[in-house]
Amino acid sequence: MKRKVVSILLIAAMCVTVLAGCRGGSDSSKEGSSVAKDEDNTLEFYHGYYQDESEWAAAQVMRDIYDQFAEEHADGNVTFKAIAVENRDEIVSAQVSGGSFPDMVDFGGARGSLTSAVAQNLVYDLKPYIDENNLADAVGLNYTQNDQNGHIYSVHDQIESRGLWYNSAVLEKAGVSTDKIFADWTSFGDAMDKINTLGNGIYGYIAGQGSRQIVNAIMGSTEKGKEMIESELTEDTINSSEFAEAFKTAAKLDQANGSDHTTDDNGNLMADFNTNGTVGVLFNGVWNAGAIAEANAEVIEPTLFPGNIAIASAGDGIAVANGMSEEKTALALEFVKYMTSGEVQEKIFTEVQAKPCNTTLDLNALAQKSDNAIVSKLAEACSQVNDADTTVIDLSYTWGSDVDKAIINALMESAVSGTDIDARFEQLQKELLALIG
Amino acid sequence: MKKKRHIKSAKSMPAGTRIFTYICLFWALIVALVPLIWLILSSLKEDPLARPGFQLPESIYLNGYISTFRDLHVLRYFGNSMFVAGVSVIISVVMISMSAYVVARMEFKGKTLVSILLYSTMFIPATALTYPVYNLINNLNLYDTRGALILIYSCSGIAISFFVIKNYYDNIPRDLEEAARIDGCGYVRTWVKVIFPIARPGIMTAAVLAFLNNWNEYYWASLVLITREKLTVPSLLSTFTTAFNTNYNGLFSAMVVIILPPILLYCIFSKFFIEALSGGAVKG
Amino acid sequence: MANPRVKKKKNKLGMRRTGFIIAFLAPTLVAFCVFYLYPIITVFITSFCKWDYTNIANPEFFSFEHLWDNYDYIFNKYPFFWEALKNSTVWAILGAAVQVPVAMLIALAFSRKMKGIKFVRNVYIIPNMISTAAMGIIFLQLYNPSYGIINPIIRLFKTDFNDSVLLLQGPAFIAMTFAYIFFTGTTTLMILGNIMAVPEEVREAAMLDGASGLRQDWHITVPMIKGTLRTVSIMAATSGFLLYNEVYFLTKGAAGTYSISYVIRELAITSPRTQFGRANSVAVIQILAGMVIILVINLVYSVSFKKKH
Repeated sequence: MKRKVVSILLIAAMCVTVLAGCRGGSDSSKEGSSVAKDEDNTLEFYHGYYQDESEWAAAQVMRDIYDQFAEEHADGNVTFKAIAVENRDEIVSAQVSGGSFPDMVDFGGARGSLTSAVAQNLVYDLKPYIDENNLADAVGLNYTQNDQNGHIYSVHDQIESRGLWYNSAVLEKAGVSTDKIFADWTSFGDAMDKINTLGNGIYGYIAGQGSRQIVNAIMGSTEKGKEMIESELTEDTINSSEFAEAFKTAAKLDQANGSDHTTDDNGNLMADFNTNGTVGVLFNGVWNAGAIAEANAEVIEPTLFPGNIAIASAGDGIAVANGMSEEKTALALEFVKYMTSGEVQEKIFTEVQAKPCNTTLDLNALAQKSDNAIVSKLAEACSQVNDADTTVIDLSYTWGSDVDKAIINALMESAVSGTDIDARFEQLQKELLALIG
Repeated sequence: MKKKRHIKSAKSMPAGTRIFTYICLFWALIVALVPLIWLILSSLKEDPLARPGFQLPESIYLNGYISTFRDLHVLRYFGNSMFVAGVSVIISVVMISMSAYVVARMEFKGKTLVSILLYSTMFIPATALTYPVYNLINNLNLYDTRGALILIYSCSGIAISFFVIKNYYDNIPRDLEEAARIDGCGYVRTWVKVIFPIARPGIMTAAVLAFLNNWNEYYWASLVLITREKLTVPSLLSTFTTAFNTNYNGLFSAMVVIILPPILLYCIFSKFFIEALSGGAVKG
Repeated sequence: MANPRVKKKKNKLGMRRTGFIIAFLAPTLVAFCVFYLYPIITVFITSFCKWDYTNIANPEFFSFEHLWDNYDYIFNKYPFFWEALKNSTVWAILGAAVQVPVAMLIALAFSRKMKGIKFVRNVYIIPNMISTAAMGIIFLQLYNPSYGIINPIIRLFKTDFNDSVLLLQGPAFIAMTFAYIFFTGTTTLMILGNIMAVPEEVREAAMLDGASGLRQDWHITVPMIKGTLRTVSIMAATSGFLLYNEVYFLTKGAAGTYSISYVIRELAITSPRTQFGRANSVAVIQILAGMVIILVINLVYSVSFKKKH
């Protein structure tokens, strides 16, 4: 009897399942076909600002910016549709593997599959449009950094800019003057040693992901090194004295700083700097302005790397598909113009709190106007980057993220006390040679 | 049929066994509770990283939980995951319990090949599946539908279910079927009326494993679903990580919240597959 | 001579049997073909192809002279492959040799009648309900040198210890292993299910022979659940071999902790050169190694089973 009941239940469950599956299927196919119909006059735009407003207000600001564009162009033949996707890089990569490209996508600075897409001729060259409309200043750094043999395939509306942040109270306690410590890496190291002797859980800087910036900055401090990180990684670069010098300097600093203050992700230790105030220096981008706890706002200041060097990279940004209808392409280009326009760029600066790409903006004036402590700190950091003697690209964009990660891993392992840095560097050289092979 | 099982109680056990059992139970408790208690404690701290370890929170800070329930529509995520994971578990488990039966009990050409093919699926990396599956979903016009995810979940993880269920069939004595066959039951009737009910605990175990996998699955979900209203539970966690930092209080709170439904379901259903067995339904 | 009518009946029966087999296998085989057949073929074929960012939509066969180029790169040039293979193999062995015995002991303990056992049984599976990604984040915090819980413990024995365990060659591997190996909830559940199904008469007979407690378990229960132990061993070894999230969240491969799955993902996704061809040649090795794992475990169990009898 019981068995009968069970089997009837199971059969019923199966039927329901099958029905549900079928219904789901037919529903979706309807949806699918309606999408297919609209496809020709909808400009789909994938972006990565999916976070809820309560968690990250900046994501909502970006979505509002997109929505405003959609509203402004609601009357046109083509509808603009911004879609927030969590797994943007994989989705685009899957499409590129199949020989297609989203109508328009914002890579948000990440190195996605743009290179493969360009190699397949799937991406629209934005350069003629930028030149025609005199947008060179509006797209700023994109114009030079993203220029590939005279073509520009993407424009990032924000510039990833890095200097460093320091806690003046900690430096003071250690008795080091801020003028001297950022003069060169030797005095930087001496200062860190002094901070590390303070005890009470106070330490010099957050190494690992951050100290890769040291390598980057040292490479940028010589003409030859700068050239190397601005081009692809080659065997000559790997074997160069510049690279060896940069790596070993950073590794020695890291080892003195201790592996307990080393992380592959700044986020794991950032609270020590921004909230607890127990760290002397943090290597992080200008956006860190928004993360500083109120209690520490007075003592935390931005500055540049020793030698007055800043790291600024456009990275991959908004890219448009090749071969769309003229109307769609026109709207996509209009969108690029809109995103780099003064009005939107101002919002990106004051509300998203990132460094805008448009170079015509007077950030300090904007900061004063907005009357927001975070924004003025951000403005300070951004103008320092703008005024730097030397600005270099983040090497992860030119050398690739796998190379970047290999360097970070090597630095992190070198931070362990007693590690033979020379031997680890030799091993790194071998790893890098293999990675580019 | 239901004979009360008299497992020996603690008193009648040899002393060594008793002590050993206590050690095992203690160990099990520690292993399970250390991460759990740490997680719950951290979820109550305003900044889990600033006051780390097993220290008690200075004051109980519930913002993570409040925002999870108030701003982030946690119930919507629960509903989506429950539907997708539930339906695909039923499909895959029914499907696998049919084929596993054939493989466990019948001799036919290509049996080894079937097993090898199923086993091999465990080792195909997701990176190799991404493009074909994405393409398939698009060709079926299922992109951005829950149906897509149900299809993927029903097909993925078949190897584990196959292992679990086939293993259970192997434990069922053959005379039961023979008796049924002598009574004139056909193959299908034998399976439906005799084997399936007996194998229920094993099938339930496979269902639990599959459900847990589907409940926590993020990769495929984020690949084929883009409408936020359709997303499943793991996407709740990703919202706490922005491009620049992570809200750990929120993240840990959400981690606690998303294991509640599986725990509840497990407590309800556990009697069906652990206690059901103690009747000694399967005899060797 | 066989009676033709009987033969006919047999044929009919045979056909019904074949029909049944086909009908019952069909859904799974369809699922396999839809979902896995194309990828599995592509993996094998493209492991002999040049397939990277330059020709992402059309992989290009190497020609027979350069047939093994991808494999050559992986074996002889790629710096992390051998390390990854070694780690994954060790994790697979640990799965079968440590995880399963632990799970079995706990399952045996759970099978006894004691106060509160139901509670422990239900609590024990909770860590398995937390996703491995979330577990990775939790353990990253526990291992954190400045505010985790591991360094204070180590300092009890070695007072001047200040390093991060996740960056030390050796300890990093152990730390990573500890982050997953003891969470045997689902494995225990399967074993327990089988222990409970051991018929009462068998146990009673054993008790008459004077075997009780652990001895009874060892001589009577364990041999009876051999099949299940073999199945869970295969599952544990497989998941050990395919370890990915732990690597990703804890070390990203630093301090010698690469795994095969991590290498595949790094080649295919992290590398800006999108080396699908090379990634797939590692995938082929992963599939073959998986088959070897299953074969070895089956062999070990059938040999030790024979010995017992």
